[in-house]
Amino acid sequence: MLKYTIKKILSMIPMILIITFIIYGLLELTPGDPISYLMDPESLARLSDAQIEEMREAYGLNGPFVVRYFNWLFRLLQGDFGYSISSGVPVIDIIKTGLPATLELAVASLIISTILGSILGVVSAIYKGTIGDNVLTVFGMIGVSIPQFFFGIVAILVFALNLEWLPVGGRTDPSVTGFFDRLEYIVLPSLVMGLSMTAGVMRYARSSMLDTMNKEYIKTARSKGLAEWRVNLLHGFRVSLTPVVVLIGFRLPTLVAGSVVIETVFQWPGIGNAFSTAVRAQNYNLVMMLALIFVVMTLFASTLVDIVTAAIDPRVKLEN
Amino acid sequence: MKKLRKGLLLVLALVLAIGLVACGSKDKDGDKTPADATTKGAESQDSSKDETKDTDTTSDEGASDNVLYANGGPEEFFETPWLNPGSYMYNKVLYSRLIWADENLSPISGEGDLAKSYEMSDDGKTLTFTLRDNIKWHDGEPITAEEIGWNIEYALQTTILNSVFNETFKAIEGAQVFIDGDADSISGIVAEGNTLTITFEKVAPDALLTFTQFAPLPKKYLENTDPVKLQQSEFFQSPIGSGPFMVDEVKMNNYTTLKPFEDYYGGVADFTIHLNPSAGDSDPNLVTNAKAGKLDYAYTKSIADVKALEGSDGISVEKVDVRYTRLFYMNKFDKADGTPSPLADQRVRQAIAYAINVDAICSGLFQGAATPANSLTPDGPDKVDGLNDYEFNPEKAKELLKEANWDENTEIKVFYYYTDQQTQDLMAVVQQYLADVGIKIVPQLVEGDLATILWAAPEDPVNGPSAVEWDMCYAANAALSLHEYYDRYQTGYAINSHTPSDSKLDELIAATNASVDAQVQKEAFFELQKYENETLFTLPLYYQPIFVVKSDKIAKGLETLGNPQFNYKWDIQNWGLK
Repeated sequence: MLKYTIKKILSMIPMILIITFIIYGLLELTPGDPISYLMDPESLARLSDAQIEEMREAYGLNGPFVVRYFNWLFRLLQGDFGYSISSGVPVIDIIKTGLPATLELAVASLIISTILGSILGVVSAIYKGTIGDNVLTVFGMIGVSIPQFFFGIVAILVFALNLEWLPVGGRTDPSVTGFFDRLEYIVLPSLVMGLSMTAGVMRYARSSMLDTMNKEYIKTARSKGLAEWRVNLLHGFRVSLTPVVVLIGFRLPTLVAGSVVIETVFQWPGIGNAFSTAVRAQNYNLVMMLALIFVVMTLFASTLVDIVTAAIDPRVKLEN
Repeated sequence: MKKLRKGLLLVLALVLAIGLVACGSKDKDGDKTPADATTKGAESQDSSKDETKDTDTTSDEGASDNVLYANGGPEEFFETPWLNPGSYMYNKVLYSRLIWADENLSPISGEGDLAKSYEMSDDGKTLTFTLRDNIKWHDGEPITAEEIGWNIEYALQTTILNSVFNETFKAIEGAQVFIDGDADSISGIVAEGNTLTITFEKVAPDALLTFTQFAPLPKKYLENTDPVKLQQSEFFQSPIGSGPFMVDEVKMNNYTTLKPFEDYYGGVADFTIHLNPSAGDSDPNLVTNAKAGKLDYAYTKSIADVKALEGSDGISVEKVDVRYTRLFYMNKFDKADGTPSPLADQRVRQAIAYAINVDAICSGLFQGAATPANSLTPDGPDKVDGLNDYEFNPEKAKELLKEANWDENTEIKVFYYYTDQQTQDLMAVVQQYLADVGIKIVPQLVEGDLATILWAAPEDPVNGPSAVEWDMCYAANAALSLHEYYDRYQTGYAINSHTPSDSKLDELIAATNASVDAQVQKEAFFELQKYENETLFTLPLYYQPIFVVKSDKIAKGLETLGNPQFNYKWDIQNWGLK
């Protein structure tokens, strides 16, 4: 197991290098440059060529992109993550501020969607063809179809503005003192994000469970006279979770990288907005660092999925 | 099976319980008095001191019972007050200026802000400020005349200086030598005791206006900062100013609180300010925050926001006319291949003006939130009467095109850079109006290096050819001063990518810059507006107002509204909240 894990981790290194190089290259290909984002076009047009050159030099934007990429990589290996071109703030500080917020939201949403999605999916499969199954199927289709921003706005309208149960947005407030005061801020965004994802997990869990329930070993278990709940839960549910775990494992990095819509709607001070702004501004240091985090998270998730799959599916064994 | 059901019920009950507990805590908060809220806030700041970027946690002395909610809080940094001097709430309240402007942005004579008095010489070339006694920065250090002089010199070395400030400072005696690096200081700036004297080499028509908006910054925090990287200075993570409010707590991209500055000469507020983060005037959460009681003062240009707030309890929206004009720049230079510009003929430009039904666009597309324009200068006392409105008249347009021997196969390239749906719709509507009279336009969204794509001036500003590819460019002018509207059309001006040398135009623009006397300037602008209206060297389309959103929590002090994007004497420290 240890050998397998080390091998997997080492195989990530070339992948990380290739992916970050591609991202750096794509950033280079986008129109304009960071200087044109730092100032409005008219102010920039008023500057002399010498002034613009001075700015480019000051921000380290001169030189071919390959050289700049390797400079970035070299600094990274020395633990220097650089500074945001827009604000001069160390990239690590921006990440320290924003990433926990995004992770908090992503994990909360993942927990909600995993628990609800798995349970409802399995229930739907067990009661296949009943009214309950049909209702849940319709719910699933609606959940997949409704855009998150719309769902978010409706949730704000109902629970924050009309019922006044929860705040309209933000992560905290100067008046917040305890855990439960803070908790109210995460309820709406995590529920909206989680419920949006629940439908997907539910559909996946249902089809996986149905597939499992038709396997020979399930019939064998039943023929042995085991209780139905035991057949469903221990033999069916456990095995059917394998593809669901794969789905969930890959969702965490996607959630972190793709939380920009929910963060905007709920004024959540996460990294999604910062990433989106940084890409538009060609804020190289920030984009590269965040991209690196997303890439590493995705690759780790992939490895983790392999390990968890082996743990929950008795048919899978890790090879050296 | 029963056990499985019990298990499921247990999990669902747990999820529900967490939700209910979270909801329940809201009630506890909702019942607390403003005084409780302030106390809790102070405790919270103390407890989180180590993990946040708190600048000062001694916030309770003089802390108020009330909180004024506004937007425009920092997302990653506080923008310097030298580019957009009043766009953000924090730039309005954290800094003082030397003198005051009224709500129409006209300098107020007599007592100033940091200056207890000021005097402009009759020839407009010497401006003397006498500073107030005991004026201080938020860190308690005194503000000196020498420091304000240093600010002007430092500002001139930055690359993010407002164009009006830039023009004024460059007109100071010795400024060019200083910029060229041949002098260590600007000879025209002399500080003696609490007096600052500025001598201009030539008349700076916006000198007084500049000092109603230019906010001095504390030298000791910035003197070692590379002027090119001013915005990236650590100072702008939690700036220190001299205005009626000072930074209390900063949680970037989450919230920022400002507290009253005890040493402010004009009075001490009895409330704090809570800023929700948002970028300038585009706050996607303005409506929800206002409806939730988390926004007491804000402004927007979005008519959709205004419509959404109609009928909201405790919220009022007021329209403020500002200097904001949307227009088509008309490129009259020959094209790069030497062919003449299709817009060089004045009759073609007039035909375009007659062919577009701007009235219908303003009432339909903009739902009445825009006013048709007949000059760059918005309606009001600064505009001459009797201008041609170019009311919709397609027949007249066709006549003018016939006179100009217009070739219907000519394609006019129209560049625009706004990505919103309204702009897309506008382009489609204009395309149709012009097609109806035989003018074919090709709208094109441009992005990237707009400085070069839109504003690259030709090497030869007299004969061209053009250094840009567009024939018409849809853009906006948001002007602090009327000079910002017109100076750009001068021969050889840095961003004049579109108007070849015109001696009459140069003369008229020069006349507007020849005096600091407001009346003389006004008359010169009248003549310029007449010429603009006749020749259409540019095609103004419509004026866009700004809407100020305020809650009824502001019980006193905001009776007169000015342009919310700039600074005027609004005495926020004396507002009364209920």
